[in-house]
Amino acid sequence: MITDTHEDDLALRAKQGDREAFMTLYNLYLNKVYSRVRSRVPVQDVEDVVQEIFVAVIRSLNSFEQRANFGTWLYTIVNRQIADFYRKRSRTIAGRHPMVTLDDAERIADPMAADRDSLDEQAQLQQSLGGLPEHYQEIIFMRYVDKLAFAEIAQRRGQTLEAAKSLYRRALQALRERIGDK
Amino acid sequence: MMTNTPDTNHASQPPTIADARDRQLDNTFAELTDALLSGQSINSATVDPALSELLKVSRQLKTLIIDDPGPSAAFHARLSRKLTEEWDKERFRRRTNRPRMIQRVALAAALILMVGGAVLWFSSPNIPATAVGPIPPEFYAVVAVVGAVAGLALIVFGLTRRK
Repeated sequence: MITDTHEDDLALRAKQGDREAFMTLYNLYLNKVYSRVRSRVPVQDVEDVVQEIFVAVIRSLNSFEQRANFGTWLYTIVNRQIADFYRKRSRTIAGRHPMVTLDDAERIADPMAADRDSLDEQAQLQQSLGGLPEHYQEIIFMRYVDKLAFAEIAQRRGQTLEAAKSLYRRALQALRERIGDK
Repeated sequence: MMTNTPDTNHASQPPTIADARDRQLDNTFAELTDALLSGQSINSATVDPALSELLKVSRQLKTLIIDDPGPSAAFHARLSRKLTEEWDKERFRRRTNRPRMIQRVALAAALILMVGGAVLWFSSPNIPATAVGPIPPEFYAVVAVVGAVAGLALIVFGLTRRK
């Protein structure tokens, strides 16, 4: 099993120009990044967003700090690229509909809001998940994407096991409420 | 633990009992999630009613995230190739796009050439002030080339400074 320290070493080697180190990180994280993107982005756009994320990683490697955790740093890029994806999509829609306001454009870009009655369960879940506070999203991703046990989640978050389980249930409650609001 | 536990009225309970109830729900829901994600079948009828809606959301998350086949082998291969290309491009860009280094090299070249040109000029036995004979045309050519290179280096310095 590859530890966080080993990953950070790989990231530093990649920063110094070691392509093999970067490709090892890419192979380690592809599935996790893909799952995170899949949970937030329509299926037809997932591959494009994943590609943009790894290209952004290559271009940003210089800014990776030795004291940072590679996974945390990478997931910041994932979140930024997903936000960019929705921003660009809103702009494209606004461009095609020059008479609509930006708010309307966002509504049109958002398949959920465009036709709420025909929303499928997955799209609804994706949008609701994207609207959760970051710490709620994070604990859900840690359990479902990174497949960490609650004890590991607690350790990574610097919490007690009880606090991690409590946060998890609150996160799911918040998600259920958001789905219910749609 | 996946047995049905009675749903009690939280509002009428003192905080310590409510806390204990919350803790129990946290633990039970964490166990249910573990069971669900490890592929065990869960009988919804035996689940605490306070958790049944959350279990439904948990099942939806499992379908969306865990049951998804993930990246295809073709996509993996395509992205690997793309990233290899991108890596090489980025390395090349970093090697060549160093304005500060170019600036210093240009400035150093200009200084060396100007000092060299001046030394050459003043140490020449054929300079007009001490001339005992005609100045050879090669001398002017050398001075012109040195001046042109120094000027070029100064232009590069000025351009890179503006970036």
